[in-house]
Formats: sequence, C-alpha cells, structure tokens
Amino acid sequence: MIIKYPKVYKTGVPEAKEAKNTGNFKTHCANDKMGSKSGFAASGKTEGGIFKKVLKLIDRFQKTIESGGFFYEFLVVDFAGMIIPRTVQAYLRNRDELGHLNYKAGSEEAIRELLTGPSMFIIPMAFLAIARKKIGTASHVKLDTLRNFKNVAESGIKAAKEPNNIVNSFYKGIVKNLYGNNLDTKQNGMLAGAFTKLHDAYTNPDPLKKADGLLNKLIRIFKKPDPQNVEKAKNHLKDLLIKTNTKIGEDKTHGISLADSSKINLFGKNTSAENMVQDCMNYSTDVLNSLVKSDGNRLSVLEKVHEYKEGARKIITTAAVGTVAAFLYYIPHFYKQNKEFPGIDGLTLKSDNSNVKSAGKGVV
Amino acid sequence: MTNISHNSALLKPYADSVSKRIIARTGKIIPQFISDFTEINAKGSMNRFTFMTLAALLLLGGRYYQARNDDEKREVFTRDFSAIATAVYAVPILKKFAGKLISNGGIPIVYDQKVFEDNSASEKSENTDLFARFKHSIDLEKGTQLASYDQLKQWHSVDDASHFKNIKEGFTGFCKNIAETLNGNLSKGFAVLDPVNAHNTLLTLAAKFGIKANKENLDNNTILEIIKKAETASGKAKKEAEPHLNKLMKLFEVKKEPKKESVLNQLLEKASHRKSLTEFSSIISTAFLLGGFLPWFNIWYTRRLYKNKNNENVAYNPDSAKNHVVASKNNIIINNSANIKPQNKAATGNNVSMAEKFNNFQKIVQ
Repeated sequence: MIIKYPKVYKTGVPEAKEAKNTGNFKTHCANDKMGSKSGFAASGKTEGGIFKKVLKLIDRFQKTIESGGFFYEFLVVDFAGMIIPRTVQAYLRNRDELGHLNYKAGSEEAIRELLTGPSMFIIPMAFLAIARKKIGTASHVKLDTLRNFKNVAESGIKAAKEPNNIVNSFYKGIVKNLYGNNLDTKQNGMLAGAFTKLHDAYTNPDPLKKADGLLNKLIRIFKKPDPQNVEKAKNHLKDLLIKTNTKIGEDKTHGISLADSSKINLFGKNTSAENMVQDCMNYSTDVLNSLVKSDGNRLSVLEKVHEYKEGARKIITTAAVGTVAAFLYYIPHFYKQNKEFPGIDGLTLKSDNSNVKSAGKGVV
Repeated sequence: MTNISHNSALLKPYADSVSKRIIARTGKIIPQFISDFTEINAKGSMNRFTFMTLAALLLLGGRYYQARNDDEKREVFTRDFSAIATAVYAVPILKKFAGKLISNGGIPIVYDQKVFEDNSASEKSENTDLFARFKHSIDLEKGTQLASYDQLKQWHSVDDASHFKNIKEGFTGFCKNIAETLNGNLSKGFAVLDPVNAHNTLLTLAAKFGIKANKENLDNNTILEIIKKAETASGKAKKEAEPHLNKLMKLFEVKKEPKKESVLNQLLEKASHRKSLTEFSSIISTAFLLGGFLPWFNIWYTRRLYKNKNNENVAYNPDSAKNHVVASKNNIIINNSANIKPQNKAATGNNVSMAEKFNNFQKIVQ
C-alpha cells in the first residue's frame, strides 16, 4: 500500500500563495485526511509537541515525588538541590590557584552535607521503629491525641456491655467526635463498624477460624495480618469517610470542606483522614487490645496502660530529638579531616597557611 | 464486632512489670514544655520551630565553635545560616506566592487553610487590617497551601457524572466549591473543558430559565444560577434541561480504561500541569539558591578578601628608603634591595604594576 502525503510548501515560496498545505507539519497533518493520528503529527517534532512532552515528564516526576511521601521528597530535593551542587562547587574551589581539583574541600563538603540533612529524619525514624517493637504502636501517636483517646476509651468501656464490644464502642465515640450531629445513629454505627473491621483485620489474622484453645493461640502468634485484608479494609474506610465528607459538604466546626474531602478535625485539630485512621489503629490495636485481653477492672488497667504509654512516648521523643541535637553538634568531628581549613588553599601568599590561626587577633 | 474468644481462660491480668513502672515514672518527670518542643509526627518530622532551633543553635553553633579559623567561622554565616533560613522559610513562602499567582489565572491549584476553620471572629479583623492579612498570607502552617494531586482530582473531576449526587447540592455544590471556596473562574473552566460548545450550552440553559446571559457576562454568579435552576427544575422544564445539564456534567468525567492510565479531563490536566510547574520551579529555585548561588557567593567573597589581603601584603611603606619594611597582618617582610622603587602603600595600582611588584617580591624572598 502506498501512503501519499500532500506536498507541504514552505511559507514564502511562490507556490505557497495558492497551496492549501503551507506552514509547519503540525497544522498540516492536523488538517489532512489522515487526521491528527497520522505518523507525522504523532511524532510531534514541532515546538508544541516537545513542550507538551516535557510538561508530561515534569508532571510524572512531581507525582512520583508526592506519592513517595515527605521523606522521599526531602531526599530528592536535598540531593539534587543541595548536596550535589555544593560538592561540585567545593571540588572546583580555587582550582586555578591550586592547579588541580580541591579534593580536601570537596570531600569535607560531601561528608558535611550527607550527614546533616538525612540525619534529621533518619534518627527520629529509627527511634520510632524501635519504639514500635518494644513499646507498641501507641508510641507513634502524639501525646495530646493519646490523652484524648484515653477519654474516649473510658466512655467506651463504660458504654460497652461486654469486653468484645469495647473497640466498637470506642469507635462510636470517635465518629461522634469527628462528625457531631451530622450523622444519625445508623450512619454512626456504619462508620464505627468500618473502623472496627479494620481493627480486626490488623489484630485477627483469620477471623473465620473459630477453633478455640491452643490452635487459635498459635495462629495469633505466628500468622501476621493478611496485608490484602488490611489494605481492603483501609481503602473501604477511607472511601466511606470521603463520601461522608462530600455528603456533608461544609462544616467548619468539624473541619469539613469540599476544598479537601479527605480532611477532617479530630479533637479540634485538622488532619487528613489517612493520618487520623492510622492514629486510631495505632492506638486501638495496642491499648484497646490489651484491655480486651485482660480481665479485672478495665478502667484501672486503662490507667496503668496509659501511664506506661505516655511515659514511653515522652522518653522516645525527647531521646530522639536529643540524639539529633547531639549528632548535629558533632558533625564537624566527622568532616574535619584536615588540620587547616581547605577553603583557602591556594589563596594565601605562603605555600602553607599554618600560621594563619597562630597569627592571633590580627588575622582577618 | 471484635472476634476475641469468649473463653475467659484466655483473659489474663494486665502484666504491670517493673520496667513499665520505671518508664511511666521517668516519663512523668519530663516537663510538658519539653515534650511539646520534642514532639515528632509518625513519619519522624519535627515541627518547624524545633527544627529551626536545633539548626541555629546546634548545627550552626557547633560548626562555628569548632571552626578552624576565622574564614570558616565567617562561612558558617554566609553559607549555612542563610541556607537554612532560606530552606525553612523563604522557599515555602515563594512556593505559596507562586501558586497563588498561577491560581489567579482562574484554574485553582491552591486553597486557604481557613476554609477548614471556624474563623468568624478573626475574619472581620483580617478583612480590614492590612498587617493581619499580610501575617496570614505568609503563615506557613495556615494561609494559602498548594493542593495535592488528589485534591486537584476532587476539585476538577469526577469518576462518573452520577457521582455528583453524592456531593452536597450536587453539581451546583461542585461548581460552588470551585467558584466560591477556591476562587476559581467557572467560565474559564468550562471553556477549557469544551472551548466550542460549553458556553453555548450554558446560554441555552439560561434562555430556558429566563436568565439574562451572554458570552460577555457569564461570570461565576450567573453560571451558578443557571446550573442551580437546571438541577432543581421539575416536570417539563427538568426534561428539557436534563440533556444540556448532562452534557455539562460529563465534561468533568475522567475516562478510565482497564490496565491503562485514566485519561484526565482537560481542566484537571491543565491544573495538574500548573501545579507540577509550580513545584518543579520551586525545586529549581531551591537548587539555584541553596546549591548554586549561596556557595558561589561564599567562595567569591572569601577569594575577594584574600585578593585584597594579598594586595596589601605586596604594597611598600614609602617612609623607609633603605629598608623597605612591609608590615602585613600575617607576615613581616624586609626588603633590602635599593633598586626597588618605594611605592605608595595605599596604592592598589593597576593589575600590571601589582604583578610586577609581586614578581619582585618573590625574587627577594627566594
């Protein structure tokens, strides 16, 4: 099959006055019978095409950064924006005077920048990871939120008729705090049920297995929560919260607005639905699970558990920030590999600048 | 319902161990203001104030105190302090204003945090007080915030036109959000979605409901009035308006295909591109300022200082004829050669004469 294309005339040639196909390839191909899906137009080797491709690339790049989370975004910006350009400039510092790259300044700069930025996140993250294993997931919940959860848990314990209902009762209280009088009892119950289902997905790996005794115990010890079940329940809850918010539309008292249907107020503080759900799960799977499994006076157990969790939270955050502070102060010990400051290598008249510091107060 | 076994034999007393009690008591000793200062979120981030305090006092203070010479001390200010202040405050503020500027084009990509807060008391004073408005606009936690891609999707699109029923006030509420909450331009939005037919459809609906409208006066209020009347109509009017209204609603759909990326509507795509460009340009400007300009300026300034210092060292004291003593701040150089012409100490001269002096000085020293 022979594919024919109408001849395209350059603007300005005599034939262009009468020719229909004058101008650039893009407009020509868009107008021809083959339509804009023709090979020439699709290859887009014109200004508009390249611009759109670059725009799509930037769009994809930014979406990848945003979906990666705050730490990922920080790493990309810190590496590309700070560490690499500064290290390059340090290596090139006084190159003309020295006759070669300034390896001392470059290596010091690289070590300094690599240790500074990431350490402000990695150290607290490490502390939180240890706390999760040793203390429990409630250590990831902020202190004021923990205290508010305690109040709701107390009401939940009093309202629950049996231990198995404590979690559901707790979440009814949470939903009441989130939405106030915007929801009726049925809607409140439905949302609380979705929260409880997610709690169960985390804590009960195999809810269909009703066998009692040793077998059940072994299952609970060795089988981790099925991630698919957890993800399913989480997405279902998130969708339900967003639908509820869009249905309500606007309620400033509860931080609900169509400007962002995934945001809501928990205990008066505006937060995203995702963070709120994670906080709730971190609390209920740790503290409420202990309550449900223990016998005796559950209110006094709650008191003891909270004293421990709140105390641990304070210690963890203080230790994490204290460690970051100490590390930041001691970073110079790691990068100061040279006796003299290499930034002025090649700039002083004498070949070595060892007397610079010893010259005393007169030195600029 | 949580499916914990009803078997009471599985219930145990709470294990209140010694270590737990020690941790609880130790935690109580830590004062509240310290735990507020050291609060971190679940991802390990500190709040801005804590970050800035640690950076200023310990990071920069540590570098300053442990600096090897005065040059290094000075560089802590010219390079590091300015970098941290820029990163923590200047860049987010630039991003805010850039986003707001782009949003003024009619397609919103930013929102004001106050839409989530009950600010009826403070709102009045902000409307009249310039300083309060300025303070609000530069407040990084409040004020204008750049939207996320998920938010843009919520504002400018739906998965299916039938989902408008789930929004309060339906399609009217959806458009009201763009026009009133986000300060967008509905006329521009519709023009982007369908440059040929959208305005004509709106005008057709306006004519059906007796609303005086033409292409020039299709502002937000008029469009909202048209859509509200079309949506709340009943009987025959509803039947006549429905096809036109459905046409407008379908413009906002995101076409999903199995195993392929969804095809965004033009408005969402444009908003997405504008947000991406704003953020990308802030990354570039951050890289330019923090990675490019500040270190360059720092190196340039140090070199300039040393150039001036070296020029001073090569100048001669004109008072001494035989022994040309050059007192520099670093070195004492004695020139015994009578052939060298005494030069004006203060003269920095042109480059050629400086080079000659330097060469002569080197010969003497060697």
